[in-house]
This record gives sequence, C-alpha cells and structure tokens, in this order.
Amino acid sequence: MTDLTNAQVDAYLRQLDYALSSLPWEQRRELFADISQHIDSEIGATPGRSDDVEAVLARLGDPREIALAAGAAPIAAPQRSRLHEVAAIVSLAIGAFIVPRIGWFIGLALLWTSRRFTRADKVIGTVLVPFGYGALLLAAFSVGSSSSSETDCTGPLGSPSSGAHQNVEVCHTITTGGSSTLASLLRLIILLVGPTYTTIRLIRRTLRSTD
Amino acid sequence: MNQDGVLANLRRGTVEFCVLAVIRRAPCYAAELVQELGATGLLTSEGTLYPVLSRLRADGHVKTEWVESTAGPPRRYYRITRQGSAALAEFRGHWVAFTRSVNHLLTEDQA
Repeated sequence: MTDLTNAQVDAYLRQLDYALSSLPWEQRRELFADISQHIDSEIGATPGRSDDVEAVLARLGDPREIALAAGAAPIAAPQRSRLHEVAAIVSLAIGAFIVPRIGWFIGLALLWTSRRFTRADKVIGTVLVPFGYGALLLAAFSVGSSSSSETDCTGPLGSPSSGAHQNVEVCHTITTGGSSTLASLLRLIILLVGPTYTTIRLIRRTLRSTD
Repeated sequence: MNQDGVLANLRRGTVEFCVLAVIRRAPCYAAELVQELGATGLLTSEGTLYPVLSRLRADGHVKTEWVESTAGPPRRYYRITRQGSAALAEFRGHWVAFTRSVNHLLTEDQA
C-alpha cells in the first residue's frame, strides 16, 4: 500500500470511528474491525493505484451513513474553527487602527490564506475595501470638512495610526471632493456601499461555510 | 414524506431478512454478500451491510467463525443459526401476507 492510500484509508477510518463514537464499545470495535478488514481485502484485490482506493471507499459509503445504520446518534461533520476568517474580516475593516501600518496587510494575508473564502471573495476583499473602514470614517469626516479647509489632510489623517497609503488616498478624496457637494455625496455613498458590501459578503461566507 | 424516506424505511424493515435469506442459502463471507446484495439496491452503500451483520450476530440469527485466508487477515464466515432460520420463516409469513394486501390495494387503486 502506498503512503497516499494509507492516508486516505486512515482519514476514512478516523471519520468512521468518530461517527461511531456514541455506540457501545464492543459494537464500535467490531464494526470498525469489519470495515477496516473490508477495505484491506478490497484493496488487496486490486493492489496499487490510489483511484482504486477512492472507488473502494466511495462504494463503502459515507461513514456517517454507516454509523446511522448501526443506530449511532447522528453527529454533524466536524467543523474547523472560523477564527481565521473572523480575524481576516476584523483586520481588513479596522486593522489599520489596531496595528498601525501593517494591520490591513495582516488582514489581506489572512484573506488570501483562508480556505473558506472563494477567489472572488478575495479579489473583492482586496479591491473594494482598499483601506478598510478606517479610510471610510476618515473620508466621511474629511468630506464633511473639506469645504472649509483642505489642509485637513495633514491633520487627523497624518496621524501615525494610518498608513502612508491612506494619506494619499484620503488626501486625493479631499482635493477633488471640495468641488461639488453632489460629488462628495456620491463619493461618500460609494465609499459606504463598497466596504459594507464586502464586509457583509465575507461575513456571510464565513457563516454559511459548512466544512 | 419524500420518496427517498419511503425507500429508506422499506429497506430498514427488510434488509436484515434479505441478508439472512442469502446466508441461509449458503454460508458465506461478507464480501460475497456485498456482491449479491449490491445489485439489488437493498443497501444504500456497501458499508451499511456491516451494521446489519452486527445486529444479526447480536440477535443470535447468525454465527460466525474466523477462517484463515491466503492473503490478508482471517475473515468472518457467516452461517445461519436455528434461531435465524425460525425468524426468517416467520418474517416470510408476514411478508407474503403484507405484500398481498399492499399489492391488492395498489392494483385496485390503478383499476
């Protein structure tokens, strides 16, 4: 048996053992022995290739189904912790304030290393909230005050809590934002809708993911 | 009730006796039962045969002996017991009467 087949069979038997865990010890041990023996002899009949192992395990069926047929209490599939995704969303949204300069980048790294988010989620998370909710709040603040003074951008925006990129982005907002109230409003809406959409999308993905 | 649930219930009530009937015909290994029953659609998956065999053993309807195999570990060889034969005969009686009633009503409904 190759390492790969071993790993597949081990994973299957672990799931089975877990699914059988509510049964009396004797019954659990017997079923486990019967089924591992079934796998051994089936694989022994067609030695070697790993797709054969997959076929053997597929025919054998879902371990939870076998456990249910044996009268075991149904158990939900084990779920991985969602901490990774929660940390990604928080970091993207307000990371820049928690960890100055690198907070958002931490969020970005978490976003792209998550196995729950889809590729589309990752692209949207990267593009639509370039600087998280921090930028939104600052932008909202500066749009409101930009008509009176454009030097605002060196004030609250230049604080160490915001990265260099933020300065550029928000200053840009201010210098062009002063021209018309309508344009400012429009920009505010876009800034509001984008991050809100992204955050809701990522939260929903995290909650709905079933693995 | 959806049709999958109906089928699952029908299987649940009958599969033990179908397995018993196959074993009664000739003592055999689990692998042979899998082959025999696999084509009938009585098992949702091959693995669900083992809980059935486990129940039959626990109820004393079958007994097993370990037989050395040329390749791999020893395997269980299943044989029906006197008690198993009696249970099967009793079920057969129920089943014939039951299916007769059901068939009668279903064909009446169609006519």
